[in-house]
Amino acid sequence: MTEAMIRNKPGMASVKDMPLLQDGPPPGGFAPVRYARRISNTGPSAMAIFLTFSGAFAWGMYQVGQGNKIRRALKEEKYAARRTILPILQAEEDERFVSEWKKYLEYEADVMKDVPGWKVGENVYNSGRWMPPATGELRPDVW
Amino acid sequence: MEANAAVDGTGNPIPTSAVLTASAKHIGIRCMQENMAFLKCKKNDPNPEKCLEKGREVTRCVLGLLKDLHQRCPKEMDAYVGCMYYYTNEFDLCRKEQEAFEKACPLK
Repeated sequence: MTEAMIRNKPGMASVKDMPLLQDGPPPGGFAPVRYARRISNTGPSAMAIFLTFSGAFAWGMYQVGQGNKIRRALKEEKYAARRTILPILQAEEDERFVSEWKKYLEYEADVMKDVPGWKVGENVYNSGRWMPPATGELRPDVW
Repeated sequence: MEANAAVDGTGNPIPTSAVLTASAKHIGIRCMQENMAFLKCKKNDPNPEKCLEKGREVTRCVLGLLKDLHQRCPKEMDAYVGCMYYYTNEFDLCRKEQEAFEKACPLK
């Protein structure tokens, strides 16, 4: 069945007189569509936003300071404990060093006993201060 | 001998790092004179042979203090030393044991 047989109008002379079959708007037209901007002007003002931000920042920095205070106190506690036990550790090490040093001096005297003019023992620097021995011979377990 | 024991077989305290840091506050109060004398001697002359006597005083004071602490409050001290050993001498992680220890053996 062609369109002419379906859509014909009585008294049609040619196909060009067929009534129109179009897709169109409903009668009365479509409802109006809003496309304009509607950004409202309400809400906090610029000063209010700035003050809130600064307040939050200041409070945050204050909390940072408080936290630093606490952390510094913890570090102080740790360092104070280290300071208190330093003398005993150093005293123990001194005892061990002195006995090792005596053994080393005896060994040196034994090795150099035939060398004329060798002053055994303190063959160290000229400044007068005591310097720890520079070689690693006295702590073979460490070095 | 486990590493977190505070005393050896005969009841003498072993000065490991855990034991020393656990008793650090007590040492700071009760052995302060000896510590200060030793440090002053060291400042004058770093030669270990010159400060041996003061060093022996320090060792005597601290080891005597450790033995005294262990005799007065053994359980609390062992708990605190064990906690220090477990947390490698971190004071903030052992507050409970520290409080129990300081209640039993108060810092004077």
